[in-house]
Amino acid sequence: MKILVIEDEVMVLKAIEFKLKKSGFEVFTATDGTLALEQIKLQSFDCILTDLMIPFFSGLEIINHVRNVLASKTPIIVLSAIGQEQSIIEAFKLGANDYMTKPFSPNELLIRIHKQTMI
Amino acid sequence: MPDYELALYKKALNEVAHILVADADGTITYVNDKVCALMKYSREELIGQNNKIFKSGFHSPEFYENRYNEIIKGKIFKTNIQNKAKDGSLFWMDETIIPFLDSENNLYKYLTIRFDITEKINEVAIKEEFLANVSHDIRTPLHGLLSIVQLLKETSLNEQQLDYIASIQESSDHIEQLVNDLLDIFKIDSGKIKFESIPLDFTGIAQSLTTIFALKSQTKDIVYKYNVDENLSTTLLGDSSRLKQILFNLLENALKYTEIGRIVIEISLLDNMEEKQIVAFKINNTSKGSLKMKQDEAFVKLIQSDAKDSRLFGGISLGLSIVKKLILLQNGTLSLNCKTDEDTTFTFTMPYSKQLFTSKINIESITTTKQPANYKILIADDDQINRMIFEKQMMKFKYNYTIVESGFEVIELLQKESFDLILLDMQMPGMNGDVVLQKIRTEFPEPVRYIPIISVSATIQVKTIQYIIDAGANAHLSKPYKEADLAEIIQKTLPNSSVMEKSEKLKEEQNTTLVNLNTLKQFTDEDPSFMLELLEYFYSSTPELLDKMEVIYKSNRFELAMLLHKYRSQVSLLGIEELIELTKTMEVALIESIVDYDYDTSFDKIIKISRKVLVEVAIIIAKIKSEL
Repeated sequence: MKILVIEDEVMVLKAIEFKLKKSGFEVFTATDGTLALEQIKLQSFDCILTDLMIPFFSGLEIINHVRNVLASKTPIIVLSAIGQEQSIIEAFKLGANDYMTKPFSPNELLIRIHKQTMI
Repeated sequence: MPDYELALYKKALNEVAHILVADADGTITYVNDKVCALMKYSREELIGQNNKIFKSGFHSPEFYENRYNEIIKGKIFKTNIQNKAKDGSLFWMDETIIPFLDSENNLYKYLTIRFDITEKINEVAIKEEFLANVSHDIRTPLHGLLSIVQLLKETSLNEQQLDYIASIQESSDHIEQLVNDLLDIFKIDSGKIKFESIPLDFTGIAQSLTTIFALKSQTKDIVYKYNVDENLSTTLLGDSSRLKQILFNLLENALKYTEIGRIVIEISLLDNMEEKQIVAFKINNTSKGSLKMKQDEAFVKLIQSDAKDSRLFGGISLGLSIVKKLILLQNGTLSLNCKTDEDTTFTFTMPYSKQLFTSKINIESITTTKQPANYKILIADDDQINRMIFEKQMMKFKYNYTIVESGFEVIELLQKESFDLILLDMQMPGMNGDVVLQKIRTEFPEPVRYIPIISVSATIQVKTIQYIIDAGANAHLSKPYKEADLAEIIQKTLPNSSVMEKSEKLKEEQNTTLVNLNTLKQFTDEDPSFMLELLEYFYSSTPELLDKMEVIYKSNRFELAMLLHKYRSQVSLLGIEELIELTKTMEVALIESIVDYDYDTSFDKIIKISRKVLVEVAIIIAKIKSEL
């Protein structure tokens, strides 16, 4: 199962990547919006995890692109931070499937990914 | 009185005054035309309404409560009150309320007579501004003058010149006092004065005043004594500085007319009530070869005159009319009793309320003696004998202490070591005490900059002591002093917790770990080498991030918010709760441009905690490496 993780914070990205790989996922990463869009254009994923505040294109723009430009139904889980409630609502409006607030437990993340990819 | 005459009176009254009658609960039953005209209501609109309709919001609820409490007792009540008209315009009224009581002494209605004094009040405001400006204008050159005198004193002068300079200084002090008095009188007259309510320390006040006056009258042969009644509650509340001002002025007056004699302050309990105690203050002045009487006559006149009369009496200083006003305003009484020309007693009484809701903790913390063994005192004195005496005293009091001989050593030592208090001799060769004081207060970083300092000198001039205190000393001790005075002044001046206690606390704080590795362990399945990789990444990248934040702190709030957001992701992983919270609130504040958020303090905390975190992370990294 292929997962794209979009997160500009290297440390967090590495931690998630490590955990997901250990759990048997094929993990692709992007540290900014441009790199993320390139990857999305190149191949399809089973799930996308995206931070909201990333350089060049925001998480919201990524969601918009996936849903409205590519018309793809790939499950998207938003990785948000406390205090971004307004953006989360926007993300849902654009078609995000779930969200997690940092700091989150990695096991919970795995459960949510499974839930999204099972459907 | 024939009816037509009564009607005439009524007409005359209606011509000049605003008249209103209301029931006990304030319901208006009668208003005359003047009320309607000024307040811009029709009579129909007012009758049946509550008197509250004129409330402007200027006065406190206590103001109205106090007013009501007086009239319910049947007392005629006079005050200045601000009223609001229907169109919102505001008026100042001179108000007299005449209550009517029934046969059982219950209030059933009251009549108010008001006069429009708005113009007068506005004049007062203008006058006040004018006075404030003038006093500032007088004081500015006066301070210039005093500084020059100060400089002049430091040049080599002969005795006669020094004498002249002392006269200049005295006169300048006098001018300054006059300006202050004038301002005070004006403040009192315009009702601007507010009284504080803080615990009163009668003994402390009497003691400090007698010390000051003993110094002031060294050339005269006067003995000062004070006596404080033990039955006085130690927790009475009142305006301490105003009380001191009253006593100061009275003592000054007594001093003026006494060459040889005795001045005794007696503070006693006159009446003990449930909520307050009436305290009597007596200043008895026995002098041989009195110079006064004429002044006393004028003083008696002043005391007996109408409370509102602000005319000055010949020979009476402004200070005494201030005394009178201050006493009356605090519901006190005053009297002067001249037994003979040589024996006069000025008595005033003050009602002081008991502290009903005493916070025990507070009082205890004030009265608890600070444990000498916890404190470190630095002493500087150039005189060998004085140093020896200090040493003996410190040993006796059981303080930790260091004694040095010069100002230079003080400055040097303070850079290396922490102390809780400095006893600083003012006259030292090389670097004078006031220079040391100034250096500490201006050039040292916190918290040394604010270290309590007691200046010690043989100076007896009030002005010089004031100068030292102004330069930044917390207290002054004049030589020669009693051992008990030294002990007391140290206890009073020492901070509540000592440097030692503080540094222990700090150590404790430092021992509590900021980093919580639980989250990281979950992400990494406790894989040590991967944990190490992430921690090392954090350790190497964070300083750069902090630097960047510091650089853009003032200039780019949006980018700062972004960086804080980024940083939060990292610190979340390391479970640093304090930083998670701080970065969150600050990011929100930045984005929402919250004005009253304390950015400086929060950012400072973020940086400081981060530095501590880095130290912790380094230790964790070393630990993991050693276990690999």
